[in-house]
Amino acid sequence: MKLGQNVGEITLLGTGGGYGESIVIHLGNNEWAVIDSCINPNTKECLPLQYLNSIGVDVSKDVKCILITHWHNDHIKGISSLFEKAESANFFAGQIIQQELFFTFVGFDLQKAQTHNSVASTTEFSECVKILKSRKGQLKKAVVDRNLHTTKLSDDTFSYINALSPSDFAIETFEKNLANLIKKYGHNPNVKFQKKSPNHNSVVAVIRLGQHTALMGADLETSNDNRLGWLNILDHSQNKDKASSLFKPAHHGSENGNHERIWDELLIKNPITEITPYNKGTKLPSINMLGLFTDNSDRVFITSPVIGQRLGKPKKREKRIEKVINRFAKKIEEQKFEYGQITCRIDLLDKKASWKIDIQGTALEIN
Amino acid sequence: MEEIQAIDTTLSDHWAGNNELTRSEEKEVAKATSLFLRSVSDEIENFHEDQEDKESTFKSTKRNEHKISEIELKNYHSKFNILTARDYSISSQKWIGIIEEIFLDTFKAKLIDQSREGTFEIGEFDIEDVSPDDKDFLIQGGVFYWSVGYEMVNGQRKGQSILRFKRTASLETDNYFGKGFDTGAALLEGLDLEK
Repeated sequence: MKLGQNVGEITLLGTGGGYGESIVIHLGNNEWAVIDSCINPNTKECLPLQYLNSIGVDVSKDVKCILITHWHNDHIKGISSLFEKAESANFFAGQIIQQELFFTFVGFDLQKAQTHNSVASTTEFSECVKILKSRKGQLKKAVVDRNLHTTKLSDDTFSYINALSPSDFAIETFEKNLANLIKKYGHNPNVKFQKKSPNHNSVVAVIRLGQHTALMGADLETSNDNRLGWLNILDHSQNKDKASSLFKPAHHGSENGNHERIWDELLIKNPITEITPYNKGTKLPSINMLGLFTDNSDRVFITSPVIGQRLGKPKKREKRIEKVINRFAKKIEEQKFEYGQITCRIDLLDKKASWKIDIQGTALEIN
Repeated sequence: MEEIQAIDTTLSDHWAGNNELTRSEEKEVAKATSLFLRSVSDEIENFHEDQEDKESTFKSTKRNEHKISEIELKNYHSKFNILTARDYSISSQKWIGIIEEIFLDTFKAKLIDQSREGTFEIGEFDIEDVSPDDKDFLIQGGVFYWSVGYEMVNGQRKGQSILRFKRTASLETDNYFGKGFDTGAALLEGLDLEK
């Protein structure tokens, strides 16, 4: 299906909460952008690429902007296969200041992955770097108050993607953490890097689609320090306005991704809210947070249910193997893959237009 | 020259390898190994004498390799036949685990199925199931191998589980360290990063 030139689209793809998420955007005039990437773990197919192909987008010509919001596996898998096809796209990631430090980290992480014959987020990143070099392209920076892409719709109407984070201080903190991680885990090929510090380096994007605005929260967390996280955006951003009518709360709708001022200062009253859950270990969003979202939005969508009991089983195997597994592991449960898609479309030029929502797969409306 | 490994040493860590090679089997493997080494050494000497005839040199080495691999395969094959017929059967499942959380008595790990790709699992294990020698490796991010299966001993079927942390020889660690730096530097070289 070919989308009209003046129809804006933001499609959120979810995987059941363990295999990542991606956002596909039509800015108008056949110009597309993709924020983050994820794969189907069974087929290894890149989901945003699959989606773009399914709706007839000429990926090589029409995808203009690819943004990685942060370096976690669940936001980057499959990005290299998308970038390989998207020959006209600029490639954005959070700014890297200490280049040697960053690439040493990447080098070690790649070696660790190779030792265990596994794939890390850095495997995807290194493939993208190779593609960039072969195209003589530039790794572009996403940083607070930076325009990443603009599409002209008419003389006075534009669509654009602006980054609201990370702040300079967040980048500095992130790079200090990298140095500590190398110190702590770098020497041993048999220990993977483990990062538990708050995610202040994630790229929040405000997406202007003609007359309408959406706010995509990525995994940015809150902090009491207004040089970091949401508080930095709320206190310092030059790009904030109380305009977004579509909102993806940060960090799978977790409490640490929420600040009450977001609802007052960045969103219109009663915005449409869309969430990707997290079902690996901790289940997000919590009941309390779901309550907060439904209190603030009449229409709340989620790409798949937050799973409680349904996750309790291991994969199906030969009966006698299942028996011995149950005997030796205290508990073992499969992280299910569930594809959910929330497509939000709107007339770019009509100020009074409202979002039309279509849900597919496991996606559902909560209220 | 690459080291020639006549026997998969990891097998001896596994219950599948509890029954060691008999003396005559050991002799046959040793014979095969020495024959192979001798033939390679001969070929290297010949190679220097007859630089131009590279193709025939390598063909000849390949012929010898083929001969050796037949002997080795015969050894493994006959060994497993002996075990199966006598008192052994195995049906196993293997994972690579990455420790995500450690509690007082248990730890939680992401498990990647080695026999069937696709979705992963999260497993919880008792710390007491980790052998005392491996306790030092029990840290967040630690990588281990877990396998389960059955052993038949005198007609009795017995479930088995092995949780083993990979140990790295210092030489391997040196390589990893160097390669880590080199890989990072190679990626950065020639990359245009927006300032």
